[in-house]
Amino acid sequence: MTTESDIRFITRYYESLRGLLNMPLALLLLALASQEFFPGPLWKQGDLTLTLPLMALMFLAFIPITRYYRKYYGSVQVEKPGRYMQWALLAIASIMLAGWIDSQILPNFPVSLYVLTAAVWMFLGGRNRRRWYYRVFAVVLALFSFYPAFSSPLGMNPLSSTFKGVFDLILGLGIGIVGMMDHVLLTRMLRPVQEVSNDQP
Amino acid sequence: MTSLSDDLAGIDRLIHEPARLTILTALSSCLKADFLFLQSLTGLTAGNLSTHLTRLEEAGLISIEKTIVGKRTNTEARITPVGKEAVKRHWEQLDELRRRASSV
Repeated sequence: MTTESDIRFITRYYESLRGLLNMPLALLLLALASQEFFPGPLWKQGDLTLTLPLMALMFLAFIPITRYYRKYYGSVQVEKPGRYMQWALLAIASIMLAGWIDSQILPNFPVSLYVLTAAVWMFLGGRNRRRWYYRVFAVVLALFSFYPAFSSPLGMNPLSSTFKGVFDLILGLGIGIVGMMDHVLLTRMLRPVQEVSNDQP
Repeated sequence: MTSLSDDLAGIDRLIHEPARLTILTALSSCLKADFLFLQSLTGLTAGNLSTHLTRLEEAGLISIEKTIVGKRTNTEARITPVGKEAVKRHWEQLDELRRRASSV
């Protein structure tokens, strides 16, 4: 920890740098992608028999991961605590809207607005130069948004099962990788505290 | 115009100490932070960090808040308006010193 900007960066972005919190979602997306590529009797797109318990597991997994960060790195409250949640909700809403446009208004459009919108949000997430990998992932997503242009039949519906399978795969890998990179950045700037107690002597 | 040595003499030593400057800079970037975060940021032992926090609190630069979470005391620190202004001024002073030193 050397410069003023390092200290300000780790303090301001501490919550979002807890990258291991990305892992449950990344694993869920990879599991969903495998439904397309390795389907089974209860393991196919649209079958919720195993998908719903997996989603429940994903939410449960947030608890020990949050505890891990709180125990070893502490906690920080930023100036506007709800800011990340507001942005996340706006991102989800806009991606869903783009998905609706993709399927209902422009089903044969050669670019998936759904994926392109996700790429834009990912790009915005990497505004700080230290988190350059968000921009790399955004470029990968932006390139993938042109997938319908090269599919057969041309302009394949972006909500088709193949498209969704590949998208889940890319998204799962991407979210997992940026999460790991965030975690590495955090552990390079903070030293885990071994004491269990947060008591001030 | 003051000399470099005059400027150096004008540096607030309470703030300039590396650990305390780190603590104040971090706290000026957030609403509040807990003891563990400050410890993992500074790499100090609990005892040393506690001493620094007490000094900063006595100087009116930060406020300390203790709450009971479960069976443990949770210590949180937040910067006061005076502390925020002091750390901002301090970094400006350091920037000015660096700029002048590099132009000599």
